[in-house]
Amino acid sequence: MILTTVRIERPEGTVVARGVAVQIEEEGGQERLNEDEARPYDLCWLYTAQGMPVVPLQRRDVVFDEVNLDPETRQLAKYRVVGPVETFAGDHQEALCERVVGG
Amino acid sequence: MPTPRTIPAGVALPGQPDTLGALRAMQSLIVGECLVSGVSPFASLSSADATRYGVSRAVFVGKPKDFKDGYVPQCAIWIPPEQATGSAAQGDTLALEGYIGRASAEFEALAQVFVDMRTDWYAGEQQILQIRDALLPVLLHHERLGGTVPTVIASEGSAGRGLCYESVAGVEYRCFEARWWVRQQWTISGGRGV
Repeated sequence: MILTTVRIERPEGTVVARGVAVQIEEEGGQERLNEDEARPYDLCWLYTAQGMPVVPLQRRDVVFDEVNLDPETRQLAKYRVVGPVETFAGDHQEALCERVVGG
Repeated sequence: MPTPRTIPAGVALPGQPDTLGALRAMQSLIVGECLVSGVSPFASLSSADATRYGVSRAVFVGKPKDFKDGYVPQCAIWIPPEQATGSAAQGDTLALEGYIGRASAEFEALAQVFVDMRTDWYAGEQQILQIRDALLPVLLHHERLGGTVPTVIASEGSAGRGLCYESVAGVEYRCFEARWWVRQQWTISGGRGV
C-alpha cells in the first residue's frame, strides 16, 4: 500500500488536477497481459484519501504518482483508470487501474 | 561477329536482412501516403515521442507497450507471434538459395489501425472507413516498399482481419487490420562453409 499524491491527466499530457491524495493498493500481485501479449501490466486499486478530488476521477484518466518512482522505469509511476470509478456518497472515489510493467 | 560483352556483375546484395529497415519503410509510406483529405489521419506525436520514435505521427513500428489513448487514430506495424491469434500473419520463413550462399526470408507484418469511438461511435466508424480506403492502395502500390531497403525484393499487401474491435486497458476501439508481406534477399558472406 502506498499513500501519496497524484496528478490526473485527461487525456494523457493534459493535466486536470494536481496534489490529489490517494492510497494505492496492488491487486493480485501477478503480471497480466493484454494486446496479444505485447502489453504486460499490473492491476491496482486507487482510493482518494481526502474526499473527492476537485476534478473527479473517471474511466480512461491517466494518473501519475507525484512522489514515487516506478522501480522498473525510474520514472514517476503511471496508472490508467480502466473501469467505472465508484463514488461513495461524495466522500471518496475508488478506481481500478493498470500500471504497465516497464517502459 | 558481335563484340563480346562483359557479363554484368549483378546487384550487390547486403550481407544480412534488414527487417527493421523494412518496417520503417512501411511506416514512412503510411505516414506519407495514407492520407485522408490530403493529410495524415494519424495523431501527431508530442515532441518527446516524435524524437523517441523518429516519426511525427502515431504510426509505430511494433506494438507500443503503453497504449496512449491520446494518440488516436494510431497505427501499429508489427510482426505478430506466429499463430498467436486468429488474425495473425504466418510469421517468418527462411531459405537457402543455391550453393553460393544466397538466402531469402519472408515475413508478414500486420498494419493495425485504432480509432476512438467513445464520444461519437459514428464519427469513429466514418474515420476507420476513410483510413481503410486510404491505406489499401498504399499496401498494393509498392512493389519493393519504395525501393529504399536494398534487401527488400518484393512486397505486397493483402487482407487481414479487416474491420474489427480491440479492447485495450478497458476501452473498446474500432480497428482495421491488414497484412503486408515482404521478401528479403541477401548473401551469406564468404558463402556457405564447412
